[in-house]
Amino acid sequence: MTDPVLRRVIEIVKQVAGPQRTPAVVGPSTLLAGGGFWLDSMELFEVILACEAAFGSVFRGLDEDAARVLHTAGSLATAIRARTQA
Amino acid sequence: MQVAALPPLLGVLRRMPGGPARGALILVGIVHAFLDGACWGRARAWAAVHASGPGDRRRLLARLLANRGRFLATALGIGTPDPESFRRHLVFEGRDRLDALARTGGIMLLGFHLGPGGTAAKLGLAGYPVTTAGAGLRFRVPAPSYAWVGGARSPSIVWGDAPSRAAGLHRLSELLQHGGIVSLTADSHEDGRPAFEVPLPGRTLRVRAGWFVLRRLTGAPTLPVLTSEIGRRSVVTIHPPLPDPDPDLELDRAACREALAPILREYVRRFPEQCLSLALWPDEAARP
Repeated sequence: MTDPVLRRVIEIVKQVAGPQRTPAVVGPSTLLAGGGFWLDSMELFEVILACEAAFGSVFRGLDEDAARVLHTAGSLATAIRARTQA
Repeated sequence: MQVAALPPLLGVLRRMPGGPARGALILVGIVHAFLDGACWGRARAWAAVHASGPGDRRRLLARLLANRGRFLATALGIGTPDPESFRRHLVFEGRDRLDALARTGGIMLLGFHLGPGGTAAKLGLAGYPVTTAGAGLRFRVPAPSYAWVGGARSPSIVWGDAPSRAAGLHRLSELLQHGGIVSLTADSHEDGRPAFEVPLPGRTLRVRAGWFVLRRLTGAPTLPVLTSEIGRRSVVTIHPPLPDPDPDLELDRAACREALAPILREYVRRFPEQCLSLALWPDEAARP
C-alpha cells in the first residue's frame, strides 16, 4: 500500500475500531461500518475528527455526501485527497 | 398511532377547520391507545404510579391520552394560531441563562421527549437561531397551511443511518465552535449508543450518547430545556447548565446524571400527563 493518505486513514480507523473489530485483511474496499470495521455513528464521528486532526478541515459539507464518503477506507481516503487538493 | 395511517389522516385534517381538526386528532389518539392493548396497559400503569386514587387515575389517563393528539396537532400546526398569536402564549423561564451564555460562544440545548416539545421552533419565534438535529418524524407531514411552525422554521439536520448521524454531529460541532445554538434530544428511540440511565417514578429514562460526546468534545455549555403546557401558556424552561465536562469519562457521566435527575423527577411529578414518551412508548429494555 503506497498511498500515504489511505495508509493514514486505515491507521486511524484501526485505532478507533480496536484490534477486536479490525478485519484480518484491510484494504481500500474494507467497509467502515457493518461487514467491515463495524463502526457505529459515534465511532465514525471519531474517525472524522481524527482525520481532521491529521489532514486539516477537509469535511466541510460532509452531511450532503456522508454515505458515499464514509462507506469504505478507500472512499474516505479519496474524499480527503480530493478535498485537500481542491 | 399507526405511522402508515398518519399521512392520509393528516391530509384530511388539514382540509378541515382548525378546531374540529384538532379535536379529531385528539379523539383518534385516545381511541387508538384504547384499541392498542400494549399502549393502553402502559398508560394505565403510568397513571397508577402517578395518581392517588381511582378518580384521579381516570382523570390522569384521560389527560395523558388527550395530550397525545394535542401535542401532535400543535407540533404540526393543526388548530394552532398564526405565529404572532402563538408567540403571545409563549413563556420562557430562565431565558437570562441562555442570553448570558449566548454572549460567550456556542450553546447546546438538551431536550427530552416530554411535554409538547418544539423547543427550537419556539426559541426561533423568540428570535434565537437554533439548529436542531435528529431523525425527524417517522411519517410524512403534509405541508402546513397555517402552522405556527411555518413562522418559526429553524435550520435542521435530519439524520438516519450511522454515516449521516456522524456527519450531522460533525456539523453540530462546527456550529458550536462558531458560537451557534444547537438543540438535541437526549432520549430518542434511535439506535444510538446509551450514555446512562435516570430512574424516574414509573419508568427509567434512557439517555443517549450523541449530545454527551458532543459536549465533551466541544466543551459547549449544555442547558437542559423542558417544555410544558400550563393552561393556555406554552412554557419553555431553560435550566442551569450541566457541569463542565470532567476529563474522567465515568465521573462526567455521573455528574450529568446527578444534575439531570432532580430536573426530570420534578417534571414528572408536576406534569405526569405530559410525559408521553415515558408513559406510552414501549420501553426498549422490555423488548425481547
